Amino acid sequence: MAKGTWVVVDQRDGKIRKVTFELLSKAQTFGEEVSAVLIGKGVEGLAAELGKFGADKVLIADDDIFANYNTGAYVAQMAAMIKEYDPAVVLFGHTSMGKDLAARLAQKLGVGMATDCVAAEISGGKGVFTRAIYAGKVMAKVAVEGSPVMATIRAGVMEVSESGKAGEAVKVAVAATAADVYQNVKEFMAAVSSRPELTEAEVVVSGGRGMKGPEGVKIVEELADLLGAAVGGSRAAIDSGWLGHEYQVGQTGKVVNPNLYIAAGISGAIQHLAGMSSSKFIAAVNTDPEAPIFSVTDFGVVGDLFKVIPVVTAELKK
Amino acid sequence: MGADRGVLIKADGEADEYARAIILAEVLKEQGADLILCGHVAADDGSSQVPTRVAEILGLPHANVVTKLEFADGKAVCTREVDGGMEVMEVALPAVVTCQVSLNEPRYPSMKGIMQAKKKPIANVDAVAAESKAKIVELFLPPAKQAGKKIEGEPEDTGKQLAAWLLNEVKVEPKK
Repeated sequence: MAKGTWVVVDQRDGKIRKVTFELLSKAQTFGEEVSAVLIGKGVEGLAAELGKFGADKVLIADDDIFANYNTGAYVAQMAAMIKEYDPAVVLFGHTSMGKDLAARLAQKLGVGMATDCVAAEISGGKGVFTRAIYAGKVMAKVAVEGSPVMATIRAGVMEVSESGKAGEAVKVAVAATAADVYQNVKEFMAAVSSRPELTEAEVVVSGGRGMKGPEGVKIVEELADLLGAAVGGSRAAIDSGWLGHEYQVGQTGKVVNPNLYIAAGISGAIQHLAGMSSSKFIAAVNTDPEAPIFSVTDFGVVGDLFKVIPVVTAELKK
Repeated sequence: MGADRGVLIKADGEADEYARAIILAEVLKEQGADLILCGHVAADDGSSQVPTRVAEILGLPHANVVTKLEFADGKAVCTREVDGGMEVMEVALPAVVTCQVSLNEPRYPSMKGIMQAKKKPIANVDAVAAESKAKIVELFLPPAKQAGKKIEGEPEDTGKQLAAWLLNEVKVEPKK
């Protein structure tokens, strides 16, 4: 009989992504033992931190082969561990690693899965997950049965709480071999920025067509830096070449869920709204009073960002 | 746009990502391909699962969310978006590659291409979906957001009001 909830840790170079803590906190509500699954190289020291956020146990697979995330080795390791320990539920963050690993693992295990979920209920060996479809116009509840029940959860939607569990480190046998590796990661180019990452930021300031060019970008960046925020952009800003595509917020770009989202010169196409409308507070500045962005804002200003945003920035500096 | 042929797969009823991947993989296996290109996320259900599942069934390597694709010595060199940056990854062919915006500029169909498209063969394949493992049990509209405040006026004034809202309601802490 499968039991226990697993949260797969998303980390790079020993730095754990926040979504991992969100999932550990959420997993407390399922009433089962919670284990963090930690795969990497030289990661044993992270167990205590995972315990703090709710891991009863930390299952550690530590090996050179896991130094860089690669699908083949991680899938082989996860599959072997699931076979041995038989967990009831396995959760991942809906991150680059989480969605890549989860999809391939789910098919290997022959199970269904719900991805990019914003709510999760577990009862009687079944998971019911809530997720957005049609660019957020409709919400769907998806029932997932199987052993294990698998899902990826959107970052920023689950509350983080410190439950101070033991985080008992359990070393597991390394099951992956060189033959499992089919991707050769040649290079990782870290985004060079003093700003927080879009998907992890508490505050995001985004600009769109209304920025008109590099000068508008500067105005947006200045406000962002004052707030310690990440900078984002709409499709229009990306297509115009004012911001790189890694800055794109929206359905095909990054889905963000910050405490505060400020949209400057963004009209709010449905694809953009799908990527930000679940933010806790939303403010917008746009010249068009009928712009769809105002349908999701808590505080909207009808006006030109070139005139309004500098006033906001100056006020906040006082 | 440039396709030499099409395959239209028809299946009745519902199929989740698991079942869809099986259908696609069967057809792809039969047809054979050196490179399988997919989008990295569907515009409708947005689940980002099927291509990776297809790769697993076919036992092929995959590379997800690729923004640049080059070929060298029978391998695909993929530059892809990952959290925190970009990664260059090499996979042997055949492979499944999922594409992100900016991989390429779609060409405009030429008049010649449009005329020729009518003569390209489209094969029909009838498929039977395996039973789904994930099922939609409820659909509902997202909770309507209360229309917030919307102000117009002089920038000097509206800007101040927005700043006040940020400080008092959102409680932002600007870096001084």
